[in-house]
Amino acid sequence: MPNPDLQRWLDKSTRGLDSDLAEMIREELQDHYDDAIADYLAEGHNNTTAHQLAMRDLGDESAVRKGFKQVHTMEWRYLAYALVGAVYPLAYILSIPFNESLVGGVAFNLAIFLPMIYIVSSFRLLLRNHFNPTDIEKNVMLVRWGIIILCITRLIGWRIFHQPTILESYSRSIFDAVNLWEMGLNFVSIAGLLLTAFGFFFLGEQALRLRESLFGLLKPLGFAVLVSGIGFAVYGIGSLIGMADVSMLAEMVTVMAGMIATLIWSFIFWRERQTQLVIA
Amino acid sequence: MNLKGSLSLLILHNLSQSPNHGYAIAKHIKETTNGILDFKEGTLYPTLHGMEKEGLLERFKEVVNGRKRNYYRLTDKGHEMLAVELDEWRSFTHAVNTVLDGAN
Repeated sequence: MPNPDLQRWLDKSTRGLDSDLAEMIREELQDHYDDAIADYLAEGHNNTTAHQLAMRDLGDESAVRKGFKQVHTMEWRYLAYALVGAVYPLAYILSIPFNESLVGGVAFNLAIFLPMIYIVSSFRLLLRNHFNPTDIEKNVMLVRWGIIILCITRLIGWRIFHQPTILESYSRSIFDAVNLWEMGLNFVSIAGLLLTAFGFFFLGEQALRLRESLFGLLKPLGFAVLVSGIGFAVYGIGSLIGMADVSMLAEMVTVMAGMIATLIWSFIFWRERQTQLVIA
Repeated sequence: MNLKGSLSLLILHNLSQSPNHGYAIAKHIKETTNGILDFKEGTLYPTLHGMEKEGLLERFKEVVNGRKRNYYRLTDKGHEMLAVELDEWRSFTHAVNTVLDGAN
C-alpha cells in the first residue's frame, strides 16, 4: 500500500508538470524510495525508522519541483521566444498605418520597444545555455534600462511637450525644444537610445566572437544585432545634432537589421525546441 | 559537503562504468566517499533529466526482479563531456593544491 507521506511528497514534487511526465517521475521516485526502504530494513531498522530515513534522504520537495520545472518547461519557453521573434516584425509592419494617430503612435512606440526587452532576455538565455559568456549580463542590462528610459521619456515628451509620438523624432531635432526642461528630457531620451545601442552592439559583438555555429546562424545573428546597435547609435546622434537624413537612414537600417535578427533567432529557438522534444 | 556544480561530473563518471538507475548512482556517491559527499537524493532526478535533455544521457527501461525500472547510460556526447569536465576538474584541483602547498 502506498505510503501517504511519500504520496504527498510526490504530489508536491510533480505539481504543474504534464500528467504523463508526472506519472513517469512518480514511478521513478517511488522506485528510489522502495530501494532505500529495503536497504534500511536490511541494516536492521524497523519500518517506521526506515521510512523516516528514506524521506529525509529524498529532501525538500519544493527544491525538487523547482528543478523539474526548470528542466521540463524549457521547451515551452523556447516556443514562446520563437513565436514572439516571428510575430514581432509582422506586428511592426502591420502597425505602421495606425501610427499617425496619437493613441496609435503611443501604442506603436510601446509595441516596438517593450517586446525588445523580452527578445533580449531570450537572446541572453540562448547565449547562456550554449556558451555561458561571463559579461553578458552587463550588456543585457544596458539594453533593458536604455529601452525603459526611452519609453518613459517618449511618453513624457508626448504628454507634456506634445512631441510626435511616432519614431520619426528626426523630424524634430533636440534643439527644437521649447524650453530647457524639454531639452533636458530629449537628452535623457537620447541617452536611453545610446545605452540601448551600446547594449545591442556588444551583444552582437559577443555572438560574433563565439566559435559555435548554432545551425550556422550565430554569425548572421550576431552581425544583425551588431548592425542594429550601430543603427541605434547613429539614429541617436543624428537626432541630437539635427541631421534628419542621417537619422532617417539609420532608423531604416536599424529596423531592417532588427527584423532580420528576430527572424533568425525565432528560427534558432524553433530548432532548439525541436531538438529538446526529440531528446525528450 | 555540498555537491553544487560537481554532481553532473559524478553522474557522468558513475555512468561511464556501466548503466545505472538513480538510487544506485546516489548510493555509490555516498558510500564511496563515506558520506562526505552528501546531498538530498530527490534533487538527483532533475539533474538526470536535464542531462538527458542535453543529450548527455539516454534513459531506457530494464526489468530487475520483475520490476521495470528507469536506467541511464552515457551517450557519445556524454563521454566527450566527461573527458572535458574531468580535465577541467583536474586543472582546477591542481591549481588550488598549488596555491595551498605554496601557502604552507
